This record gives sequence, C-alpha cells and structure tokens, in this order.
Amino acid sequence: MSFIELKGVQKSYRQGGLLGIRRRIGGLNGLDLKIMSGGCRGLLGASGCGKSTTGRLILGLEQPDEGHVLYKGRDLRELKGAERREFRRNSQVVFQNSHGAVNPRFQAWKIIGEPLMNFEKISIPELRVRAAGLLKKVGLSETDMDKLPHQFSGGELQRVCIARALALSPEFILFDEAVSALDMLNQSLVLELLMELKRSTGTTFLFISHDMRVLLKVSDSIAVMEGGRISFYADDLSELETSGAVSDPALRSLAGAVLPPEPL
Amino acid sequence: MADMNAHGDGHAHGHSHDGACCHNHAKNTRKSRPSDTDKKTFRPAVSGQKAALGLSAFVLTALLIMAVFAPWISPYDPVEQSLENRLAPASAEHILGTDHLGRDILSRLIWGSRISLGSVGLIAVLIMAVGFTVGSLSGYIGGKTDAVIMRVCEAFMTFPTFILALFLIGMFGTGMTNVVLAIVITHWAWYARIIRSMVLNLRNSDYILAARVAGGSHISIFLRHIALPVLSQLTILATLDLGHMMLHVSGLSFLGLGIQPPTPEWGCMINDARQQIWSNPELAIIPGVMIFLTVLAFNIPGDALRDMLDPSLSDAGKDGCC
Repeated sequence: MSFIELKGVQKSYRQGGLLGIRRRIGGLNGLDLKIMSGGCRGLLGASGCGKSTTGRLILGLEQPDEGHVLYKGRDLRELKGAERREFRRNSQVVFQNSHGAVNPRFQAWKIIGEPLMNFEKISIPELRVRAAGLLKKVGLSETDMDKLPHQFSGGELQRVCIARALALSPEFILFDEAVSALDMLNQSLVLELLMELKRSTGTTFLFISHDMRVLLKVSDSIAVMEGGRISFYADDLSELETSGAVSDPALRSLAGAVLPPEPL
Repeated sequence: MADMNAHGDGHAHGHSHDGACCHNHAKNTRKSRPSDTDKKTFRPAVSGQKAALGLSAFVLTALLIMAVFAPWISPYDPVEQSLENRLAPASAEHILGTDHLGRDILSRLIWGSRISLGSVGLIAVLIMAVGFTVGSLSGYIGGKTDAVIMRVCEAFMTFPTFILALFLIGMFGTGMTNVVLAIVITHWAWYARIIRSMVLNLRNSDYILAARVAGGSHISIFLRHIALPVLSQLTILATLDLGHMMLHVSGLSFLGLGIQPPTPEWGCMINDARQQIWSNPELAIIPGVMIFLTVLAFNIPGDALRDMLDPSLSDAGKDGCC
C-alpha cells in the first residue's frame, strides 16, 4: 500500500501585492507521485522544478490548490484530531540548512527532545536519556547533549537534526536536500549513516536532491521532476546506470552536469 | 527660503564629504597596519564602554535607591513650604537650597525620582505588553488580521507623538495616570510594528517549519521558539527608549499638563523655576541635570544588553570566526 500518494496536484504561488498585477508563479502542475512503504525513493530535479514544494505538500505544511495528497489512502485535509496527530507523528523531515532548522537557543537534547515533548508525557531526566540514546544512534557522543547549535559543525548538527527526525520512530522521513550543504567527506559519512538507519529501522525515506550521485547511492528508485511534474520514473536503478540511451531530457542534462569523480 | 536651502545643501555636502574622508582614512590605516596593532587600538574603546556601563549602572542604582527609600533619605517634607526661607542659597541646612516657596530642593529631587522612574517604568511595561501582544498576533496569524492591525498602527503613526499626546491629555484631563495613558497610546504602534516584523521573520524560518513537523501546536511553538527571542530584543529596544519616554513625561509636566504642583516631579520643578530663571538659574539647572543624567544612564545599557542576550556571542562566537 502506498504511504503517501499525490494525485494531480496543482500548486502555485501568488506574486505581487495590492496594487501590482498578481501573477501566479512556479509550483506544481499536475503532479502524480506514489511513495510505497519501505525503501528509499529519490526525487531528482534541477532548482526551481518544484521539489521542495512537493516536500511541503507531503508533510502537510501546505495545501494543494487542486488535486489530492493521500496519506494511506485518505486525503490529508480530511484528517482531524487523533488521525492528524498520527500522521504528524509518522512523517518527519530533515532540512538542507541545519543551522537554520534548529532554534539557536536550544541545546542538543532540547532540539532532539522537542517532538517527544509534543507527543509523550515525559520528564526531563527521561528526555535526556532518550536524547543521549538518539545521539549515539547518529554517531555523536552523549557529551554533546548540552551543546548549543553554534558549537556544532554543519555535519554534526545535521546528525542532530536526523536524531530529531528519528525521535518518534516515524514510518516516513523526508530528506529535503539533506546533504547538499555538506562537504564531500561529510556527505558520504551522513549517507552511510542513513543507509545504516534504513536497514536497521525499516523507515520509508524520500530523498529530494538535485545531485544524481547522492540519489544513486541511497535510493532504490528515482523519480525525475521537471517543470512541476514527474517526467521520468526509474524503478530499477541498475538499468539506469547501464543503459546509455536515457531518453528523458531532464535526466540527461542532470547526468551531464555531474562532475567527474577525479580532478583532471 | 532659497537662502536656507542653499545653506542646507552646503551643510549636507560638507558632511558627506567629511564622512567619505574619514572612511578612506580608516581603510588606509587598516590595510597598512598589522592585525595586532588593530587589537591595541580597539581595546581602549572596549574598556571605555565598560566604564560607561559601570557609571550608568551606578547612576541607575543610586536613582533606584533614592526612589525606593525616599521617605527615609529625604531631609524634609518635599511639599512643606516656609515662605520666610524662600530662595535660600545652598547651606548646611538645605544642601541644594530652597525654591520660591521655601521647599527643600534636595527633598524634592529625591521624591521626584520616585515619580519619574515610576511613571517611566509603568509606561515601558505597558507599551511592551500592548506592543508585544498586538505585534505577535499580527505577525503570527498574518493574512487579513495582519493587514487590519497594521493599518490601525499606521493611523496612529501618522500623528506626531507629542501633538497626539497633547490632544489626548486635553480629552482625558491632566494628571499622572493620563500622562502614562497618553504616552502609551501614542507609542505602542512603533513597538507593535517592530515586533510584527521580528515575529514574521522567525515564523518563516526553517526551524519553525521543523517545529510544526515535530507536532507542536501553534501556542507551544510561539511560546517555545518565538516569544523568548522577541522579548529579549524588545527589552533592548525599550531600554534604548526609556530616556525618550522620560523626556516625554517631564516635557508634559513642564507644560503643566502632566503631574500637577505641588507634587515634586523634575519637569514640574523646571516649570516652577521659570519665574526665577534669571535670578536663581540653579532652580532649573538642578532638575535639568537630573533628567540629563538619568536619560544618559538609560541609554547606555541597551548595547550591552544586546550582547548579553545574543546566544552566539555568549562564548564560542566571541572569537569572531565570522
């Protein structure tokens, strides 16, 4: 069964104010996307193609203008009360810019503990124990618990964000360009951590990225976006890697832009 | 008219030219000198700031003690008149002399600090409360609520504050409570607007999105992530504005619209001294100096407070990596 399904989703943003002419810009244009439970789906696309808008719709942070976002077969807009909470609990996110995604006044344990505080009645000592466990899970040490965000490097803080996403043991985590802001070494370390987590927890991942190499490394299947809709599916990645004759122009241009692994 | 314009232009031109000159000079010296001398030239400024901060803390503490313990400190009753002893010069009995009704000036100053500080404190708290509530609602809810609230703010901001305060006092009548109300009503809009923009800025940040995904309700997100940083900035803003508020209170009292005689208040005392301004100028100068010192002392801690409340300046950030 599909975990999240987007059906004919339209979404655009208004530009211009009271006196100017209002224009509708960007966004999504009849997007269909199915994310099955389990595994890792990659969503590939160049900047401005609507990847992040898709992410926000999937998380229920925004509503589509037209079409439906279905969570386990039910429209997100129909979910109320306990069902809504269950949905919230089950879908978490990791953003691109880790320093922007955490409150600069919160220590690591508070950042990680925030979702727990929202969903469980839990005392502070208990919370710290849980936070310590989560920190270890993402490869940080217990002693990092009382650090403030500016005391972490970007890669470390991204791990804290991953720990926060894992805190509620959700069924689904969205990674919105989650490694794009990291250097090559940290990218590969974080990706290895993610693959390890995927194996051990069985969580469904959706990985949004513009970087083909990242997606080839982590995802089982890739959807390519262009101009607010899916232009190409690749369910079997081995096929994608071997076949030189990829017909999709969006994918071809992204593949052509990948830098060579060795400097010349 | 044309003459004035020409003068104005000339002045502005000269000023900008000076500015550019200084800028170039600073650039040159920075380039030519190694970094350690830069540190040396920087250090006295920091210690000077510390000295100013210490001095302002001292003045404020002294004022606070004066205000709180006025009944015990002041040598005389501030409203007790003795006409045979009017306009007495400074002596052992009356350290700062007496005014035109023979009241002890020192006692009046001490009791006056109570009213000045009390009214300014009350005004600051009320403005912050109104500004914070209205600005937060406007910024966080957004949409039509925001538009309506902002138009109301703009309506208040179109009037010059002092004129509007005069008008309000004309309507409400004179007296301390009405002065406080008038100043709050004329000033909250600025605070509401600034707070709205702070809240709006935070509300659109990634960490608020993350908090929503983490399942926080709007109220808990607001309290956890928005209220504290906004309040700390608001405190800085209000600290910088305290002196201005105090001048407002004293100014209205000086015009005879605020605190009424014989209540001792500094602005009121300056007003009383108008008749004797040529024969006994110290009657106006002494309370004037008090207002000046207090306003100055209120203005200094703002910057220091900002540094204290900024999390990234708390320890590691001090090395100045960025």
